[in-house]
Amino acid sequence: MKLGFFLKRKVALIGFLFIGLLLAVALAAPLMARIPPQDLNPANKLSPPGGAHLFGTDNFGRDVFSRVVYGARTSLTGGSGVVLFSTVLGVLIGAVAGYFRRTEAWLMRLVDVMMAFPPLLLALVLVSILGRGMLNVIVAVGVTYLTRTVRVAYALTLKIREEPYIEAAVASGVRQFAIVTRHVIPNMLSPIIVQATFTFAFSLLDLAALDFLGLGIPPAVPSWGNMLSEGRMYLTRAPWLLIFPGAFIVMTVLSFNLAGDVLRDRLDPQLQRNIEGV
Amino acid sequence: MSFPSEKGKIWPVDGVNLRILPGETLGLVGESGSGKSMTSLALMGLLPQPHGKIAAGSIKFKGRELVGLENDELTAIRGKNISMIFQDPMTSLNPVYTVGDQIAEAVRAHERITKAQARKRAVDMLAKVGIPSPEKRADAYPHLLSGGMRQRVMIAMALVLRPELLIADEPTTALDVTIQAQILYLMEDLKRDFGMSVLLVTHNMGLVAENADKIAVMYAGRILEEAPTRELFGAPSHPYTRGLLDSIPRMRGADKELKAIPGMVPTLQDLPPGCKFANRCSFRQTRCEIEEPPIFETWRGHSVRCWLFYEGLFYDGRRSR
Amino acid sequence: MSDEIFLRVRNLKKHFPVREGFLRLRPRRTRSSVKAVDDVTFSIAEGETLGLVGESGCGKSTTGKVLLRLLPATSGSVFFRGSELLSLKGEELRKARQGFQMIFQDPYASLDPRMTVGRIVEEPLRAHGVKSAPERLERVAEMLEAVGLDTSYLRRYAFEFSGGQRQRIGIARALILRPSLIVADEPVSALDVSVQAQVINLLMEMRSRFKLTYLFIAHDLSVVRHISDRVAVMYLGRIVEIGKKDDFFERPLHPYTHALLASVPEPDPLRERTRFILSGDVPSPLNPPEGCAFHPRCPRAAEPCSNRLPELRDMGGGHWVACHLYETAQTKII
Repeated sequence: MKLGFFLKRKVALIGFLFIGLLLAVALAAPLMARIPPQDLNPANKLSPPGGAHLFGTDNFGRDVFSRVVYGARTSLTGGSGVVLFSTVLGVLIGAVAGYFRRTEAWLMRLVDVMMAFPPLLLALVLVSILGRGMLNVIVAVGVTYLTRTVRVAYALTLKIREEPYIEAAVASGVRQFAIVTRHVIPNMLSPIIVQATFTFAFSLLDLAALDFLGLGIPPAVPSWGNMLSEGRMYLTRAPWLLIFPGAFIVMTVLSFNLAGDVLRDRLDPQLQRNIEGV
Repeated sequence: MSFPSEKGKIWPVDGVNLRILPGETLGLVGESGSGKSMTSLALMGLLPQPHGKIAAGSIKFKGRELVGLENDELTAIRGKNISMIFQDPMTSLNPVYTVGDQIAEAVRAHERITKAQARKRAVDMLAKVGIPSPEKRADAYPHLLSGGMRQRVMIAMALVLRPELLIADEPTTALDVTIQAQILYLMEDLKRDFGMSVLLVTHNMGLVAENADKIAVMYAGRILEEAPTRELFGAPSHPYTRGLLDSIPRMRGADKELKAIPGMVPTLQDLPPGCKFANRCSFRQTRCEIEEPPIFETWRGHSVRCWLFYEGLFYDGRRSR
Repeated sequence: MSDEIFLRVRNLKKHFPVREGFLRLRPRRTRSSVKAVDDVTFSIAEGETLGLVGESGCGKSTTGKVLLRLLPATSGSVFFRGSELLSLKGEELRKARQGFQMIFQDPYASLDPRMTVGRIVEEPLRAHGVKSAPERLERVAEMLEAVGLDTSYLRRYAFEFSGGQRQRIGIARALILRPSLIVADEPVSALDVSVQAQVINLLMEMRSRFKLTYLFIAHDLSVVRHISDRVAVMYLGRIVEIGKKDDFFERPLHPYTHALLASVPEPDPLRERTRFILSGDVPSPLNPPEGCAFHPRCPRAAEPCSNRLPELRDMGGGHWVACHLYETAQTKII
């Protein structure tokens, strides 16, 4: 992918810059946040932004800046986890369902059933079964996105399997499994990557929502959702408790959506239409 | 009619001069990327927008300059005086209107007549292009017709206003040979009836041999050779023309080995500085790679863009071949 | 050539069921089908090239794909070097594919855009158990050289090449397993005239170098004349004439063959043109005419043509034709 293409799109560039910044912040969290995010300081609770505490402190006197920085780690880990889970599994299931017609009927009906649930509700049910904790939350949210990826991968597979190069592989005597892994999956990757960026953006919102509802990551772990959830009681007295994590959620989601749009433009428009048709 | 030099950032067509006399068929042959389709689009003022433009040159139609005309003036000429048929009739027919409506619409765009009159003209024209039960077919939508029928409809639409010049860009390439033969005979008959001129753009040497009075061979945006049909096939002069003819398998006569032209057509982005065919030419000289040859006239009406013909070098050898 | 049968196709049929739309209003039994290939019989001797010609939709490509087991046959038999291809299953079939390969029409779509030239040509070797990577590389390099491609292309992607070069890649892929039968499906029709001859010459060179047998499917009669030993014409799913090349081009029998030959425009302005053109379109294979499928367009159609299907008859010297004209002629001789 050419850099020049991105440079032309200034808005998208901002998105990519923000994602880069966020990644740097998350990786270098211990260096950025001089005050550990768990440090309680009741004497200095709910102090407004400025001075030693750039973003102020919360109701336990914890540094909001540190918590936002560490929250970036949590969010990016969570989002990546959801993307990884839903994409890897979704591509496999979709490709298998699309290529091996015998599996198609029951795999795709299963997906249809899952799609009938409201996504957040499904995640809620899963979390209440699995319990709280990062991994469980990733799985719960990941499952809701899995169905979409399966449908996209399935639609792409149906298209790719009709390509002459697949017929050529069959004619050469390539094994079916190898056709799926070596031809079908590599040829669907670009639209799947676009799908993944959107999944990432939306899953951040879902992760935050679960945290906000108190069903996500344990409250002691700094996450933007947890911060919103705890800060909502102090909406009028200490709005910075909501403004900073809220702003970061919005900026991150927006950046990933912008990035996704640019990636989408890079793709074959016809393929894109197929995805949107799903 | 002539128009030299049309250029964009890449120069798909450069220094092309063509003349078509009334009632004449000029065959413009070339491979993909030779600029033959661009040339015909330029004639119609239909270069791909917004980037395509005629950088220099002139197109004269019956003494009138077409380059630089306003769009609506061109529109008045298109269809009325010059019309075009394309390789794929489906792209130029609107799928949501019946073919009768589309032809009638074309008439009404240029002439003030009632809908009923326009429809009658459409049906008459459909009959003329050999469509059985034209009354009924006029109410059909394009996708219900076969490829050959659609091409007939396209021809009906192009000819309903009796243009003086018909540009046919690969008119039969998408069709099977028996249907191709039907369409070509139809075009020939109509040409005679209407007394129009035809610019037949194609990659098929056989097609121009049978249908054109005069042939221009294009390669990399240039016309490399132009001659009356019998002359061109009887005494092909440019190494490219000769190479092309040697590389085509024949339907009769002894089965010779095909002499392929080595290499491939250069892309428009990196054209060589000298003769555009030099890198594939077996008669290449140093000069060919440096300097592009001008056009030499070797015989009346037979011109060649090749250094071999400089100062009539090949003049006599040509006839002894 | 040996006496052993190399390839024998018998009564091959391929019918595609036609979907009746969302609500199946008609009972199942009466559902119609397109008879893309209907009762096709021919054989090819080892080392021979059979040209299979016909207009679009006549079933020539389908025939090629069915006999290579790329499409399931409806019925019939394909006997290839001692085994019945249509009864092979699973792993057996996959392994048998080493013996017969295909060259595709579209040099763009038939090469995986995500693969380098090296991987494309090497893939059949991998699939057929050549485990050693250096050995594969050596054989790929050898084959690329044979088809006239530089080995420095190995790591480049197929989309970087022109149509002619891509078709060479496709030929290298088809030949790397050293098959004995090649089905070439319109291998040059997507190429420019000046490149076509290069690829035709290459196919002929490969034929003698690797002792190949070709089923050469094409609509271009002059190309077929150039490369084939025998020619078969299909019309609406059936072979209407088959014979040695010279018989076929010099002494065609079937009126359809006459029309086809007369329709080809030739690069010779001095040739006398016979204005023998067919009227009408190729009928829809969904609803083919009764009797001889060609009779509505046939200038010599007579009474039996519209109600009885003519059978392929040997007119001597391996020249077969399916036409009622010759049926009577032959009975007279007898």
